[in-house]
Amino acid sequence: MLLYAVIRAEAESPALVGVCGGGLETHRDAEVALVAEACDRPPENSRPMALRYYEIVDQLSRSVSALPIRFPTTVGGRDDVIRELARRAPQWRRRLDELDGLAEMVLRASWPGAAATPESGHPSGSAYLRHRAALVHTAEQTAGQLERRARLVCRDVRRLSATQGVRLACLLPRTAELELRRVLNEWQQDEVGREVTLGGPWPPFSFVDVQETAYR
Amino acid sequence: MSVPSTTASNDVALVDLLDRVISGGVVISGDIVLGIADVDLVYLGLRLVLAPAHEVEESVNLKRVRTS
Repeated sequence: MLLYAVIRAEAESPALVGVCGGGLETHRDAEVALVAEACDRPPENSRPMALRYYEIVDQLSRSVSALPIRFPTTVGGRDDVIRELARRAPQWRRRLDELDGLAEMVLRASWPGAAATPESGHPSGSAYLRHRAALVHTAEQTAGQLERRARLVCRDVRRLSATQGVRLACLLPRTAELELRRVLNEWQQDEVGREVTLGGPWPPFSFVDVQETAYR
Repeated sequence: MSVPSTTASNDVALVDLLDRVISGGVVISGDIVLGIADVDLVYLGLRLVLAPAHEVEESVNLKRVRTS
């Protein structure tokens, strides 16, 4: 069984076709339900399949409050689905209630030099380390500024790993997207040379677990 | 200057989206019992972690640094 999302037990999920071509099934406990699909074999771990999976989860989460499940998570059969529900129901229900009506957007900030490679002719090891320290300092400073601005609109903000620049995940009501754009526009005007791009809104993939650490 | 919308056709948004789909979301735990001829020998409690290769590499490298 390929798992898609956790929804409230009383919610009616829309009729959707899964990535394996079958209809999605809803398995209910007293408090929550798991949306799953019976697949003959685990889905291909490819970009098109992951995108198709996302589209299904997104459709689902636009209809009902949903905790998306990491792709591709499969369990042996329906008995495993029922067992997992019984084990995690109270925790999932609590988080579903907390995330009701909220979505995730990802902020990506960049600036000149954010992508600079460290191997660009430093005369010594200490010069190289100073260069690296300056890059880290700028990234930390930018992340802090951006996070403070984002928190004016976002209910929660988490830092995501980034190979260059800064990435933040923002949890917000779907209706607050324009307000977030306004706040970020102001930040860009205040911080000349900094640029922000915004992805989403998506189901709250980064906020399903209250135990998440700040950096992932 | 306005904050650009990154759409599904935008490479950056696509990377961020795929990253969230395979790195975020609920992680399911599992159990495995290893046995021979219907005799249970080993019980393993697992936390199923599916991560992109670069995150696994980063994690392994961090552990190496900590233990060295």
